[in-house]
Amino acid sequence: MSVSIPVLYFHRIGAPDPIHLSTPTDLFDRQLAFLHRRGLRSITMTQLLRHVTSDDPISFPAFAVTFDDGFRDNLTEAFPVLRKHGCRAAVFPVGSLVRPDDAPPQVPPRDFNAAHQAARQGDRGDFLSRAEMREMQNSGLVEFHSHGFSHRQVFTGNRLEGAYPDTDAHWGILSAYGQPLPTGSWPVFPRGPGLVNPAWEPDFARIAAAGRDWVAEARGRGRAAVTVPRDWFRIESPPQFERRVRDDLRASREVFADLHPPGPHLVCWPWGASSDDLRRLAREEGYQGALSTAAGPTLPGGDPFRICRYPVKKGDLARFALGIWLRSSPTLARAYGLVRSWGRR
Amino acid sequence: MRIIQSLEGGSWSGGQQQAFFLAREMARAGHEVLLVCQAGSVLAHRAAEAGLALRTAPFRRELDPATLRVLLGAFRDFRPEVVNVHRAWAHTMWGLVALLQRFRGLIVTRRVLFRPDFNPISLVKYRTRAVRGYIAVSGAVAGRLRSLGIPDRRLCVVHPATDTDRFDPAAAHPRHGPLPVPPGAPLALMVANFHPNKGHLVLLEAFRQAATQWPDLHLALAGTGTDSPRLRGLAAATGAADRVHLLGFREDVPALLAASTFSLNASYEEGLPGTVRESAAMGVPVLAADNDSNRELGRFLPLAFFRTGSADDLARGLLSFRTRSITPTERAALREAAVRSFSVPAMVAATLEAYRTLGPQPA
Repeated sequence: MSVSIPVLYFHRIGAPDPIHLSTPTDLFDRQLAFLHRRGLRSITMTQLLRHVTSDDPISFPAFAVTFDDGFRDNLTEAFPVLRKHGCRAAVFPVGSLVRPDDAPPQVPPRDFNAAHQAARQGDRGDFLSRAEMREMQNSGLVEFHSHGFSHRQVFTGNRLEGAYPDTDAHWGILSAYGQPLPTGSWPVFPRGPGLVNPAWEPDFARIAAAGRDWVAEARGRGRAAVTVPRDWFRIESPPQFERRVRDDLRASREVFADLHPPGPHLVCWPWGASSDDLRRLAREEGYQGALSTAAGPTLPGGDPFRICRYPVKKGDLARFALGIWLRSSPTLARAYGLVRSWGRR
Repeated sequence: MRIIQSLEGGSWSGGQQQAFFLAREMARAGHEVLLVCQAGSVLAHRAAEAGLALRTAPFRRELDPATLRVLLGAFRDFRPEVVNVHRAWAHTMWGLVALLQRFRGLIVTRRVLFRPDFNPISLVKYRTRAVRGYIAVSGAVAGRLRSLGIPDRRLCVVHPATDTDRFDPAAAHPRHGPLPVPPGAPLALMVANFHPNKGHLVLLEAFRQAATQWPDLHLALAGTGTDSPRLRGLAAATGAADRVHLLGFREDVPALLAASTFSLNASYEEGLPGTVRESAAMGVPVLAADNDSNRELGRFLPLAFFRTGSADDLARGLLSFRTRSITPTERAALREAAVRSFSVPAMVAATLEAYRTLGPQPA
């Protein structure tokens, strides 16, 4: 009998989190206890991949645990709980955010946006170092795979959509600029995940020299479209785009190649997004599978480059139990996937 | 107007308090009001004591057939013009009633800032036309609702009220439990459940930094979970554990505030924090994180701010109170600002105006 395997994904455990990508430590503990009480067993990424590719389908009730971004609380908060329950897990850190071994960790930890903003300025104190990853890997419970090297968003057009910092101070905006933003207001244009969109690289000096009050312009634009000249951007050509994507995939694979058991290399799509071209490039760059953020069943015969996951966020144990139930039944998981994809439109 | 106020939840919370105020004051103003809340809850008990029209429902889970039966019965018997719900499960269940009864007077009050999950229930309940409009407790919450695609014409901001009778420095405030602070010692108080978003870790780190420079400052933490072993360990790491008092959940918050030199709010985010308003009503100065909601409160109350999430900045803020003497005039001004801006009559009047703006006109 083939089963659909809930692949849980978390970002942070027990961390301050205004945008709610953190799970309280005690809730995480109760969630794992619940799964074990129900007789579900945690599996490795290799087992998950072999299940999806039908090489070795799993016939027992199982689940997988994943963490995105490689925050340090995965070690300080999640790891003790994983050890307590003997639960296997995979962490997908961002290659460029790995903290140097000689850099001190940030105590107390910053919230999600502040941690990413500090990292853009060179302070990666909220993220795991390689030594810490090694410590977790040596337990035999945790493995590390790629979450891309830059985890960038890129601008995809020249229409004014908002202003920084008037919008939610999301670090994706900073990543689209590719550099820290000095005090003042900065225009925000349409943006998308960097591995599936050619970048419109903004000419930072030209925007700064314009001296415009972008907050006032964004607020006052109403329904009228406000654009800036296209020549304020360097737009990537298709070959440049492909080279950037290949470089990113290759670099991040190399960073984590020795931090997981010998076998398949996996990537977790930054921002959850992939395209046919990206999946092809990932295959060509040596990956054997990829995890997304889409909802749906995880069954033999599925696409190993589009493994669905369950975003565990806030909520009580009852809601978590409902989420597991929805993703364990192939039929329900399929139906739920359709509802969620409709909801996201 | 015939109005139903409804929410789930057994313990006393900000939402329960606002629903109680609304039901009581609207009834006093001559409206027909029915309160529909969870059986056995503190709210049900207090409403019965106050003589309010009351019906209880089980509210066992978000989708609950037994609750639906009770709500349908209440709707058919009472025939409300407005149903104002104050929490998530009541939103879901009354949304179902509204759909089944083709009712267009459902108004949802949202008090929390976090973004709802994209689960099937949320997808339906935040998109259905059965909800006539939303009342947000702050501009920050309204902004979050806007980001879900809810247009301005279906949104109103009504700040919640503070119980300025209970939080009155002139009233007697008996203490229900120990507060082992030496007489005359300066005391900083934070009332918040122990949760990563409430900033306890940042506060303890700031206290560690400030403790040596202000050797007689004491810190008290009250709220569910503040007496947990985890927090005890963190308090011990400050090197001044004898000056950190972990009080756990306390009913006698007015008494704790009365004993405090100043209070703290270190949250990363809030809807519109009640503890800041209550501290102001007691005339106790507040050092608050500069998150959106606290900055919004700062337009009405003279607050001191530190940079959200920054232990260094919070330590500087703590030390700024070392040389600052709070005069009785300042305390009186703080209380007056709280009473003026967050009184129950003002909140009730603004809510009724919101019903008129958002809901169907009274018959």
